[in-house]
Amino acid sequence: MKKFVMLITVAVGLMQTSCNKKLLEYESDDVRVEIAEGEEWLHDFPLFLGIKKKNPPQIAIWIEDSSGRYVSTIYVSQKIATEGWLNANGNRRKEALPRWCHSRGIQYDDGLFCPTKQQPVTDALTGATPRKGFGMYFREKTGLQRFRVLVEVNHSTDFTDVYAEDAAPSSPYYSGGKEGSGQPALVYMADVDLSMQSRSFTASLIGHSSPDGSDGGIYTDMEGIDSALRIVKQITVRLK
Amino acid sequence: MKKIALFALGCIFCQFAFSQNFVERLRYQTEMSVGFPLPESHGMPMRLCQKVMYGLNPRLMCGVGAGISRYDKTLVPLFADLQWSVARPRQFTPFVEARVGYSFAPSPSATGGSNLGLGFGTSYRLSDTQRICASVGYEYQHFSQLKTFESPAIRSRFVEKIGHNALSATVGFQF
Repeated sequence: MKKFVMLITVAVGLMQTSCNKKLLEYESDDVRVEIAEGEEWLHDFPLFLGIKKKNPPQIAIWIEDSSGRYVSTIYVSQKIATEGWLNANGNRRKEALPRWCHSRGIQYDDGLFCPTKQQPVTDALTGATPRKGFGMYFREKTGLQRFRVLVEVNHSTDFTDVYAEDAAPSSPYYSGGKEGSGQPALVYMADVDLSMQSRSFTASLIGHSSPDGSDGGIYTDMEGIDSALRIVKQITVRLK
Repeated sequence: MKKIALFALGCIFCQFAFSQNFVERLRYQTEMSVGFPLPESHGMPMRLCQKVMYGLNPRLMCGVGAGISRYDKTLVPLFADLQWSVARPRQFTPFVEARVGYSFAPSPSATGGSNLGLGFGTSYRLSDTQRICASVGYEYQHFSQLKTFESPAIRSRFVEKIGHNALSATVGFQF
């Protein structure tokens, strides 16, 4: 019984240390990226026998310099970072986040730019996309005073009448077929100038990625894109 | 709320502690468990626990336990446990069990979260007071961890919230 009372005492002590911990705090020169979820943040993904699962989107966040040259990824969701797709049957899902994939400039053995199971993105940069909006900190270390923060977001099987499940591969609206994206990934960008007085920069939508993932371009024709516009409510980059 | 619940649990057990009948109905179980991650969970969790069980009747036991488990981070689970023998105790006795609790994270870069376990198995009687138990089931563990990336160009930090689902296989020794 003494052992049990000791166990309770240790448990209360552990609770004090574990429950009151704040894992993520601002440090000097940090820049914070906040993503507020929109009403379409969670999307039905079909599993089997009519059973569906609500999935958060795939997201990549990266930095480019003011001339558009890729600097570094600061966050990418786990499925695309590790080729960990559910029910993909070997489909590499190159249409998921093609702008980010091409920006990195890393081409894999099969000629595609998406990370593979064998060569995933480093674990420290990847995480399961939260089921609500989230924030993160980064610090740019090369001394850039002006840079861009880009965010690309995409849901799987997010079909519309235009980006249809049965669109022909030759169609400009083909997005990977029945296991593909449906509506293409959307790209948001915030121009950050550290020399400005402003301490907050809101990212704006600059277009969508290639629907079938064949290139890393940005397209401004938004025909057929509706619910995808409501995945994200707002993206804000804040300086302390 | 957690502090109050645990303190109350401790007091209740202390009240019973002085009863001879209570001591006779106590059982201790040491068990080891390994998990097989379900889709969208990663890594094979392992758990080593000690439970103190009280026999409410010959077929129903309840108790509390503590131990150490390993996910991406090391966690210290504390839990309440319920075990019901499907048949009357005999040489091989099938049972079902349920476990609910909270795991604490000693690491400064992680916080703990709730855990849940369900299982069914069988126990083999070695003697009047000793049994070997084996069970399979499902377990869920929620926790958060800080991820930090550093390169010559960038330093990034974010908190990853993980809900880990796994099928588990457990072996235990009850005495």
